[in-house]
Amino acid sequence: MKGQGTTTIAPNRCMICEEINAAQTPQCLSCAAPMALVHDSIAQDREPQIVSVIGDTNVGKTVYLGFLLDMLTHRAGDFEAIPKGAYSIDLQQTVISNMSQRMFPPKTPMEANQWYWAYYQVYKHSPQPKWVDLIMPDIAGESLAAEVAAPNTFKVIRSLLNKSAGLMLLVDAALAANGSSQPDFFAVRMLSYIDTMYGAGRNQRIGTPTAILLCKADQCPDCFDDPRKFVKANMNRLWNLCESRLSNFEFFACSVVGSLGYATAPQEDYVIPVPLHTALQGILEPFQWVVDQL
Amino acid sequence: MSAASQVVCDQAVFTSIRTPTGQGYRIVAASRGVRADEKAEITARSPSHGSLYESRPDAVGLLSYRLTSRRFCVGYVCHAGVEHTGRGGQRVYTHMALLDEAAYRSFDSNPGAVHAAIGKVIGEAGPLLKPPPHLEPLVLPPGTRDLASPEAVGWIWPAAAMLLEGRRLVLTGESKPLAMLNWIMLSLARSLREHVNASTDLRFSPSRGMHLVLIEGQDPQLLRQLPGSQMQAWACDSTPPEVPAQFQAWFGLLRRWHREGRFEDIARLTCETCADSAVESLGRVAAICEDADRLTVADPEMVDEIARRYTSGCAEGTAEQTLVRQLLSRTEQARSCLHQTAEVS
Repeated sequence: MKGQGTTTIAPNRCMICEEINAAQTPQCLSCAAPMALVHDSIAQDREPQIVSVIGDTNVGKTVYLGFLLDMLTHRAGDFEAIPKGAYSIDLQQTVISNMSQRMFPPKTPMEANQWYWAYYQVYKHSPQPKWVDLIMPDIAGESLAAEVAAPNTFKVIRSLLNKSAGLMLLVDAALAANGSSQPDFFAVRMLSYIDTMYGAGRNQRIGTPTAILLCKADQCPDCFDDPRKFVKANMNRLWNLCESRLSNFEFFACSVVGSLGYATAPQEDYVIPVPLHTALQGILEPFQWVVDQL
Repeated sequence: MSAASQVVCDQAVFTSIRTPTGQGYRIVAASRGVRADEKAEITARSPSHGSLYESRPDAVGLLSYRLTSRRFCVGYVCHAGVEHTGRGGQRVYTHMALLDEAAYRSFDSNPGAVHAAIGKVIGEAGPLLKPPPHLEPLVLPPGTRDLASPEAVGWIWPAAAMLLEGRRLVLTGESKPLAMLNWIMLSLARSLREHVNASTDLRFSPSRGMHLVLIEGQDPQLLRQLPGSQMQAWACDSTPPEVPAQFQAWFGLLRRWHREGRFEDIARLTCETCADSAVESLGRVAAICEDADRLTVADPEMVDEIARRYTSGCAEGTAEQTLVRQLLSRTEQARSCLHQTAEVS
């Protein structure tokens, strides 16, 4: 069983929830997805595919996606990427601008009309040349958690995941390495939700290519040596669920920050993490793997 | 307003704190009477990071809507320190009261009154950033009528008229959005207020399902988001549209009373006498009130004419019958005064 992996293109029909909207509507009135996705895709001769980047709040989805898109725009690796629509640049610009000022980008709001959406035409040179049109939304982690806890709280998420041709599930490796079970539980909840949504029987597995990214791996470098071994040891529930319910998955370690500082004030009870410099590791490989599976 | 007694109701807190079971924006505490479906709906509609339009620490907003369960949810939205992940911006804190119909009506079905009561509770106890697993029911102090006028007074009646027509509005540029909301509600019969979902000083989001959105400043992003939606954006520094003909009598009366400073009369009319009046009867109600006011300056012939008009038993509904009874009582008083004046002269 896998997600639909395809999207229906028709003028004024939202690509995500398929509701009909009035002409000139900038965002779908039902799910707030930009209608520009429809308008931009009609001009192409390929149906776009959705790759959903999902994960708990504060795991680093926005930062990861921003740097990934920026690397693709810089023609990193085997890739060449062309953004479709000016809105596709917003996310990478926000991330790069903030990180260059040694700040993490602002928290992604739960309101769907404020999410960033990126629509890119991606060309992979080798081993076989391949064009893929990808839509990658930056979803708020709290919205994902709320949808998992009570399905249909955020219908746009259900629609997105149902239509996803590929998934990138981000988990906080640093927290897991420190003994927290939170990343493990969230990932298991997320995959259980997807499993239920696809409605696969006991002997069927989810076929949607799923890359599981161990984020913040700079704080636990042994992730990079053997991500599978890391997950088996520190997130055993996730490992077991992947083995039993996914047929196409892979683990990757990634990191964005080279070194992290912490700022605080004596009278305050919060600590601000400060990214002192970026050192990208393992950003492209999960994406490369997902594209190869499409 | 039932000002004598406190109101006990369910409550919920939606904010971002770190607990052993999770972190980020979610319902962090609720009283036991809040149902699971209500929690899901509250989560979908509540304001998250950056939702308060003003970024200053003392910014306050209001969110009010009717849940699918038929209870009314009124949220007091404020900032509560820096968000714990330190990624910039203040933590948005929403403290909600969930009221059944009777409890909401004890506040004149005015979300501004409920909002003020929640504000008093938070003012005394502070935001709940380390809540217990379950909250006790919320005890709200008795409501009071706040009759302070907004800056753009001329927009009260056209905005209320557009709501009665079933339109959805975004009003920007009013420096006292809570006062504007208060007065728009006061100019509607109490039962009609219950159909209006409203927010003040929160960023527009279609997922909240608002009929009335009031924002203090101007939001440049708003104009890009509204085309194709049912919302219409109006700036309070522009000339308001004319009130439609079918509502001119009603809002003309309220506008005149407001100009004359008869704020309590407006509140009494819309919250008590005409509390359950339908839209169709508002014109007739206005005509009765106008005639009642004419009695103060009427000569004997006009007093008789007005009395004749209403003694034929043409009043429909409880509100009109009450007003007619009061009017006829005043005609007797007017006749008595005129008679005494004639005798003296």
